[in-house]
Amino acid sequence: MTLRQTLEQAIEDLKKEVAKMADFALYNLREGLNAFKTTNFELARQVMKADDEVDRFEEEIAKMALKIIWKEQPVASDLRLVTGILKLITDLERIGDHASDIAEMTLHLEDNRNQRVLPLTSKMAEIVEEMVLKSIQALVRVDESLAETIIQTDDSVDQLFQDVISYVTAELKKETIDPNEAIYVLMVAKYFERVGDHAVNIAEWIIFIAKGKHKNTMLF
Amino acid sequence: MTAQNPIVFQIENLNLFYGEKQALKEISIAIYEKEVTALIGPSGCGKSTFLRVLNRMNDLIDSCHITGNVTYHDQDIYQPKTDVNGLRKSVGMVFQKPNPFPMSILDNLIYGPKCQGIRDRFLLKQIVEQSLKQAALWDEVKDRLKESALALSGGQQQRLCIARTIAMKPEVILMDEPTSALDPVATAKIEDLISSLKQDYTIIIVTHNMQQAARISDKTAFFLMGELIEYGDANQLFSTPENKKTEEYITGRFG
Amino acid sequence: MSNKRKAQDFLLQFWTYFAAFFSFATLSLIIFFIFTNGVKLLNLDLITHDYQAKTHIAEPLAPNDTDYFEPEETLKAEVYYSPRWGLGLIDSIDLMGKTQVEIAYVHPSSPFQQLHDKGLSHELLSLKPDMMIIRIAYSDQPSSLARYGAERMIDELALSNQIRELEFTIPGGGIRGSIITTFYLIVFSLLFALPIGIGAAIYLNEYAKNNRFTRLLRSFIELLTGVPSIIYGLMGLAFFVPFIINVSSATSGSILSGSMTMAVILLPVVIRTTEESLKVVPDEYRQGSLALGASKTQTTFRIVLPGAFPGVLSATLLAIGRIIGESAALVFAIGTAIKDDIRVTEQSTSLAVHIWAMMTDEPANIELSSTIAIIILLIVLLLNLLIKLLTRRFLRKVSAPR
Repeated sequence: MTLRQTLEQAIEDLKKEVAKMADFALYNLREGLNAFKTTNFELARQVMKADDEVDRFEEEIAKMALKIIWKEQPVASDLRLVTGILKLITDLERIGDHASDIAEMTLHLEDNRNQRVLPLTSKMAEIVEEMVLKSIQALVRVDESLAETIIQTDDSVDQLFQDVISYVTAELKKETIDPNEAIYVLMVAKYFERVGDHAVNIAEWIIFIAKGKHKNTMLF
Repeated sequence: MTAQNPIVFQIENLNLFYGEKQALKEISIAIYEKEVTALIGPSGCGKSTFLRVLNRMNDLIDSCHITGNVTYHDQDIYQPKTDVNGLRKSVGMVFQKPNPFPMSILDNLIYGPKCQGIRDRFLLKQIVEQSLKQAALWDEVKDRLKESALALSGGQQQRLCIARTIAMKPEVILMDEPTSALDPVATAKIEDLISSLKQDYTIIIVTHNMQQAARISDKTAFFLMGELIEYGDANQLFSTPENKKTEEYITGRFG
Repeated sequence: MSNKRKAQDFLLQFWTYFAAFFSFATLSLIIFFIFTNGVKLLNLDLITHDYQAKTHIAEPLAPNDTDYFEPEETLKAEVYYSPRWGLGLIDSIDLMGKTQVEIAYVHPSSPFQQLHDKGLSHELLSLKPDMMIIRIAYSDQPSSLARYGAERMIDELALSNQIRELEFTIPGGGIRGSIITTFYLIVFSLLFALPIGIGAAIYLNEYAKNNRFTRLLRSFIELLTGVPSIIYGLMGLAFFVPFIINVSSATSGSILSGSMTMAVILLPVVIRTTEESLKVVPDEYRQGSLALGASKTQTTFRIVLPGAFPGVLSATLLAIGRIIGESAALVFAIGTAIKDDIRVTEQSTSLAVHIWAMMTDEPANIELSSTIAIIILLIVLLLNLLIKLLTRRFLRKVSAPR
């Protein structure tokens, strides 16, 4: 039986909370996009409110992490885990913010005209969601190779965003799209591209947890 | 890697036996000048035994014998002609339980120099004052040098033992768990002392307190069951240890 | 608790109480016996006088210097006093029942304070109380003799104007000689036994390797502590007496041979006790000293031995006690002649042997023996206190007054 049961338990609990926070943020992201697609004002407001919950998660997890530091004086892998988590929850919180941002845009739409969400954007949403889910897996298993793949995937997200820009620009030139609508199409896509970047940040902190190296710099 | 200080001790393939029983296996390690090197590991892993190799205190145990090379400044200290007393002047030792002699504070400090034949009273007085100041004890005892050393508190006694060692003007100070018998305040004082002493002396300290090793050491060596498992900058060993056993020990997953 | 248990407990407790009481009572009885028998004869003279009674013939330096000497203290009714000569005499009886004339008082300015010994020594003597006058010879009348009693002697003294000579006896029976002998014995025995014993103990405890040979040696020494001392006495007679006779002017047993014998008796005890006290010195001190670069010898003599000082002191006390009490071995190794003039190359008696001599006399002199026993007890008591004082002062120097 390994020693330090309190530390082990505290670390397990910490990881669980982070997973819950990520699940919740992702859920909000999906619902935010839904609200936008269906111009559902009610849902939009719900999503915006739910962001408070995401913020609260961040604070709770920070508290748990700090407690482990003062109480258990972690070293080596334990230390890297706790400090890495402290860093990556900021990115999770930002993801939650973007979900709220997307929902907020709904409120600016006029009556119940369904907004256009490009297939490209839906594709981006899919990929990005996958990235966040994988990052939680990578965290729980401290799997640096999985984290690496997440970082690679971001290229495709960036590419998709470029495609959206090209498409919208083309449509604008051809005047086959209402300029107002074009703004929103672009903004939604942009938010998803940002979520992708945050997922990459999370993956980079996971590599730090595994190896002590962040973006090719040894932090120790 | 940053530039290294010169090497003080070079140990190669050291094996140590108590009769038939082997206590140290194939230890190879270099100790660098004016650094604090901490030896950590679970009880009975051989770290204290290794420490005592460096000033030949293991000679006091009849059944103890070694194979391998132990060189101090390129001299093999286990050569038959070695001046063991001279070695111990250069390589001093502070023990786990403070052991001042049952004499006055003054007599404790001048015992070593007198054994070496120093008689000049003025010189002895200088030695006493310098040593006590370096050991951060001067202010506390300067008015009662003639009082018995046994009247001091545990922490003060240990600093006295350090002063006593310093009075011999050594190059290396070996410390065998020097704070394990002391309360946290006395421990903190001695840790501060060690940090200031390392400017002038090479310090090798055995400790079973991991946080202490993390706080004060420049290099750390992890011993397990008589073997040297990992040795490197403390910085690296406490954040990203290379060996899994080191990781398990310092995170406390096994004792 | 069952009744049987209660009974057992009671019996055991009773036994311990009784044993304590019995021991205390027996010891007290012995002391009581010694005191009641010996106190009578206890006085300063016993300690200061010679054993042999000495008879002197002397003449006063100022043979006719008479005056009127008023006695400076109240004299008892039985004292006959001559104011002209400042001399007070009293009747007494010797051990055989013969009449004796004892001096009771001599005035400080009396001519009898300054007498010239007519014998070999030519020394200056003076009359003191307790001396016995045998005969006073006058220039102008027939001599006074003790046989006729003190009163007549005083009357005859009053009539004379010039004293020719005086024959008097300084009583003996004193133990001064034996006290001095005991003292010499203590000094020389310790002189031989302590350095060798302490040295051997240091070797065994600090330098010798722990192997079968040393273990055997230790057992052997322990065995020797139990050997009856009379055997050592025989050995002394066989070896040391002839040895001393050979190397000095001795012609028989002597204090020197007795001291050497005594030293051998003491050796195992000294070695054992010193070893024990060396063992008690904490090993940390040795390690601390060696770690400072001191050599093994420096460590042993500067740290360990001083640390063992209280133990060595108590070993010495034990030794002294043994020396004072030893009789049988010394009877062989020194001899039994009670002497007043003590020389180390000659025979004499220690206090214990003196007691032996008194008790083997005809008739056995229990009173005097008890008196000597009291004196011995007092010496031992004094020594004990001295050692305790020294130990306490030593400990105070090195340990903490918190």
